[in-house]
Amino acid sequence: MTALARRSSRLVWGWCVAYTSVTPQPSRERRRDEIRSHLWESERAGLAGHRVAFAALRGALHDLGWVIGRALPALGRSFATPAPYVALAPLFPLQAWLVSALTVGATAHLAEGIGGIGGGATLTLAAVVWMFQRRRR
Amino acid sequence: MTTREAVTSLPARAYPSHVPRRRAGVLLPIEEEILELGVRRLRDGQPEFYGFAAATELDGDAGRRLTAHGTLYKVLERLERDGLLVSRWEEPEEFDESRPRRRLYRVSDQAEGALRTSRSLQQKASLRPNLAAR
Repeated sequence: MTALARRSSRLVWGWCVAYTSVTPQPSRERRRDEIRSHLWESERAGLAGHRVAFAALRGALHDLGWVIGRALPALGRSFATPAPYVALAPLFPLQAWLVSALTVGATAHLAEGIGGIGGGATLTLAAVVWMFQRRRR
Repeated sequence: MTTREAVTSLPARAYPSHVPRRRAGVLLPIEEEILELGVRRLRDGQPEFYGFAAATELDGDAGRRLTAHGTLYKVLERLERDGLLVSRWEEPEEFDESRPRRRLYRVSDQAEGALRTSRSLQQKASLRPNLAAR
């Protein structure tokens, strides 16, 4: 196996790990196992590294389409839990602090306003979602 | 020119002619090739195939570059979802530990029927070009 083929395999594997990392576990494991097997077979068959890399490159758009098809429904479902709202809440005061440190006047004022209202509103939303979840159980 | 006139003057086919468009019952060329391969394997008494074998066989048949990974696995998954392929992981006793396990596919009972339908719809569309352009 040449150094180029090894590098290509590593590159393709890295891409596979990257795009599957945002998909649900069963889809992720299946795709990774299939690509792992495909790369192993490619190496064993002595395919040139650039051919393997080009095959991955040409399928990259389909990979992204596949990710969107799997990750978006899961992301949508996660917003029915309080976790994403709790995670988002600190970002509002953080952006206010950052913007007001870097700018002055109306922009800073606006950022502080959003920071003050946004964090509280997001936490309120988290509480509402949590209460709904409890009532449904 | 009014909006209506502008819209009606647009060509009926907005896609370039080489872009395959999905119509109900019509399979994409790569889907047909995979199902043909599966049917051939079934007749040869070796019904199961895996991704890499399918890719190399398809490339050999069509004399083209290596089939793109993303395209191949997406199509395999779609055919399985549509009930035209069934798949399973290799059992531990079926393979040597030195290599990663393979996902094995084989065509379902519906595959041949789907292939026939797709071909006849394409044939009808080619005989009636106005229908194909719609």
